Amino acid sequence: MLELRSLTKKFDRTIAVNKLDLACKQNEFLVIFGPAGAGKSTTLRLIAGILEPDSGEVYFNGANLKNVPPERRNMSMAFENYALYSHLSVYENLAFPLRAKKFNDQDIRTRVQEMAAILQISELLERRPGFLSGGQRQRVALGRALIRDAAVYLLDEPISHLDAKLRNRMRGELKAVCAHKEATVVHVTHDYREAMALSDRMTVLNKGRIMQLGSPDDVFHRPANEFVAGFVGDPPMSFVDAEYIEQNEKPQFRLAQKDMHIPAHAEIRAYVKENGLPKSFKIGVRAKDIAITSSQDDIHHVAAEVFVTEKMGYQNILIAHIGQTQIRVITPPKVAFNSQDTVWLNLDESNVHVFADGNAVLHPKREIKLSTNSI
Amino acid sequence: MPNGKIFTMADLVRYALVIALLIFFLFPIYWMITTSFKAPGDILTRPPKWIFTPTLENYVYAFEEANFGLFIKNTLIVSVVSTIFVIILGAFGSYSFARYNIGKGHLMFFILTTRMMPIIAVIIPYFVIFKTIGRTTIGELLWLGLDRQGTLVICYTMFNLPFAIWLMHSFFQDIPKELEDSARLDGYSRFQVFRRVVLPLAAPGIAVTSIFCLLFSWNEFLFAFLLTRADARTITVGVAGFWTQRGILWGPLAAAATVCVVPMLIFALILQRYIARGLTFGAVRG
Amino acid sequence: MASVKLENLLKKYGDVEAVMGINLGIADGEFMAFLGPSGCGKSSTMRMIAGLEDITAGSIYFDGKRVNEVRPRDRKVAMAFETYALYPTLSVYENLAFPLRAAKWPQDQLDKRVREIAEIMWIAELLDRKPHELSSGQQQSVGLARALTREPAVFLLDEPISHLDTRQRIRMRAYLKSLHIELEYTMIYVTHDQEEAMALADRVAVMNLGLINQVGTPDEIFNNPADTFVAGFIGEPPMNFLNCEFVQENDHGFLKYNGIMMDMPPQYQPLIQKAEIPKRVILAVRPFYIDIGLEKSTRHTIPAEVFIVESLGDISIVSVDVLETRLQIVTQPGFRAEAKQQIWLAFDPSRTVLFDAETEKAVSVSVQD
Repeated sequence: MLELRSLTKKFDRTIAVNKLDLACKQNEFLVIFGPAGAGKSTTLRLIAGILEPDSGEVYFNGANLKNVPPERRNMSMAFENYALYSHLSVYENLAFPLRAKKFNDQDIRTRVQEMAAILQISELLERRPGFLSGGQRQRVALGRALIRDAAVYLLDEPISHLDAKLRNRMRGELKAVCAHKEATVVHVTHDYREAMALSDRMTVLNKGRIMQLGSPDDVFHRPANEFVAGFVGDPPMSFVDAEYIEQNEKPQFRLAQKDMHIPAHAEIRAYVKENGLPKSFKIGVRAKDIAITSSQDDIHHVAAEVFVTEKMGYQNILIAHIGQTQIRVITPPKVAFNSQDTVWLNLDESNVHVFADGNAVLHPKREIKLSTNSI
Repeated sequence: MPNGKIFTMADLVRYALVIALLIFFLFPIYWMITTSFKAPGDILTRPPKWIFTPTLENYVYAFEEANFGLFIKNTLIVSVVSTIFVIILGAFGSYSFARYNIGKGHLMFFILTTRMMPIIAVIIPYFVIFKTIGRTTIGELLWLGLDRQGTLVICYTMFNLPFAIWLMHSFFQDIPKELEDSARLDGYSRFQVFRRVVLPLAAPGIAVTSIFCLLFSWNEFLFAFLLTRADARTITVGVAGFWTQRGILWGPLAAAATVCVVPMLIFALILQRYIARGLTFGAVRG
Repeated sequence: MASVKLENLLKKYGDVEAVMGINLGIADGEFMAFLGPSGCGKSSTMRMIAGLEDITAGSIYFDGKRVNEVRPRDRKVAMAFETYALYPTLSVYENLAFPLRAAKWPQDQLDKRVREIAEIMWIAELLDRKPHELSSGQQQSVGLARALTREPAVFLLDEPISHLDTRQRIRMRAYLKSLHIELEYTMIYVTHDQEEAMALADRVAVMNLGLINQVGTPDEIFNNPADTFVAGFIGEPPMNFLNCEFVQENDHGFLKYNGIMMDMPPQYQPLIQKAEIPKRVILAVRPFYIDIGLEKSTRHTIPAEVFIVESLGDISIVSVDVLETRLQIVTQPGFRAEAKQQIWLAFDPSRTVLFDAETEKAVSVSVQD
């Protein structure tokens, strides 16, 4: 429905968006996720028509939007810096898009009150934006974007400046409102939790290019490359340099700087046979996937030195060093080690991702349990 | 003092200094106003007369003998009309400079340079031009020509416009572009966005600009002195008219000057609130 | 290195009381975090310890000596701010040497100290660079290093990593913690981010409205919050609250929420006999300790309606409505449910905390882990 074809935008000499191809389906919640300066906001502005691309096109329902000005694109946008009208009350700010569409006063009142109730700003309707807190302003901005029926909703970090508690709650509300409206949404964020929670599909952007496009599950469990793997998740994925060797016909990874081996999967052997040896192999592990013991055994055979432990209440994050490489492991709250203790980890093909020259070649074979037990 | 604290020596010095400065700046105004109510015999006495019987004699003279009412009317027309022109043209002009960067700054600079030459440098060509126009039918229809108000309106508009564009430019630039983008996405046309979003937000800037333009036109002397004679004469020239061959008529002069100052004072006080208030308070984050 | 003691510490700005008489002892070598929302008085407290703010009333002791009247530079306090003002024209080396030159250290000692601290802070290879050639994380390290060159007795950090991006923040967190382990300085850390405070501190002082609500280890404040403010401020997603009525039948206690009856958690049973349970209580349970059942069972007795399921990869957050109250539950990834679907909840009784609805203080009993 909404389609970006080879979209490119330069500012002076920096390329903000680089030959972007992206499609958003009807009623889809698409999240553009990436670090600061990835070109997320620029992409949104190109879709809105506020910026003109240097090359490439935006298509909507098959029609090229090249010469369609923003006011005729029927898109609604929430801006990261709120962009509220300081001379108008909250009520009038919310009513503003409806007045453009010549709604009558009764309909406007109904809609404004409905939206204000969802966003918990009903008691603020008479105030001017200057008298609101940052979080309140952000909710007004979000409300103004969602209040009318637009073909596409473009949301630029619409809840990222709320405090943690409210953000948690608003995330759910936002998803529910959009689902209820059957809205087509393109949402920009730098918060991976927000991206995961909201999106039907998400695209990870870096330096104006798409690093991966897929379902949140795909992106989290099957990251396409090292960048995505390291950027999604908290704590982030840890990477250990590895060298591929075949010892006695058995494929192995030798972990850099330490004389330690872990078995390599047959798929890796096939990969090497087909593509030759890459410049670098990296083993990636999520903090939650590793088990840890204080003594070596058959399964736990990779040694690491404890650096520090972070106690988060419901879990501990153990930070340890394998050689010079820092890795993070989540342990139950009771488990505690002292600094410089040696611990043993179970790095093997069941829980590691393997990256060759930055691109993923193997993911852990996992079955997603459909149990309902709490963790 | 708040909280009933003791008045210290430092406070004393500070207040004394403030009072001295106030006297220095306000005394001429006080003197002007009192002089306007003095009888001719009370004005130039030595030592000065602090207590006197007030009289309206000078005001009567200024308005009845010297025809000052007409001057005020002329000034009012010329300054208000020229200010309206300046604001309308200036708002569009400076908005396009601010938002669309017309001429990449060069044009903006060029416009400002027209303000750099002194009035005296252009006054002779102006005199000749308006003299010629005044003799034509168009000139008559548009109220242009020597000793006609339209002439001054044109002159003041031309002279205030660069300054107004320059001043409003910064106000428009301070309005976050997202406000306009957002309104356009909501479906408003560019002109509607300008009217419904940009103008209300720029109101303080427009207020400030109009005060400056009005003040300039109200106080302008050289154009008015050289391009008007009687019918279109303005107050500043009128006041100078009390400098007669028989001597300076201090009483009527002070009365006329008082009348000139008061409207501007009231005007500035009314708009002061506007000027002080923040421009886009609360519009964007941070 | 020094211990720090705050005694009835009070700070007024005009008529506004920013800090309303707090008492706190910080042991030598301890890592203490002041945690609270903006305006809770945490920064004012730190600035008083540093000597940058006058003390309205009360006392501050370093190693038992009152330091109220001691000038900031004589307190041997180092302070790191949110933004490190590095001198842009000076190299990293000269930036580190700057405080020592001010103290007129001899060149050889100065050189030794700068290299030593650079080694500890892992910035030895950056010494010749100018600040603008560094990443923001590296600038942060240099800023911290500069604060540390003079071997402070107390090291104060005011939101030092809050403006870094997530990945850098997580890295700097580990770095600060290891720094503390290595240097054994007394460190006082101000932050509004509960995750940071939990991860770093030996003990956390949770502040709100100028008062300390609770002081304790991360485990204590997480598991045994002293009041509803602490309970709601610590943990993400935050703790769930349910306004209940205490009902007693013979020796048996129940909690009643709009007609839903729940058993009294066992650890509160002894209090029933002593009649120490208030009539109106708030039942609180963390999102991690609620179990979801698709059918009603002996354990899963609390009916709830699914509002939305958010899948975050390694966990899922399920928002549900129990009548008028919205609760959030953390479950395994892969949990699927439709909006409005009826499910049944079981609270882990040993993880349940009761608060007096009147005072919002915890009903006192030590909850077992």
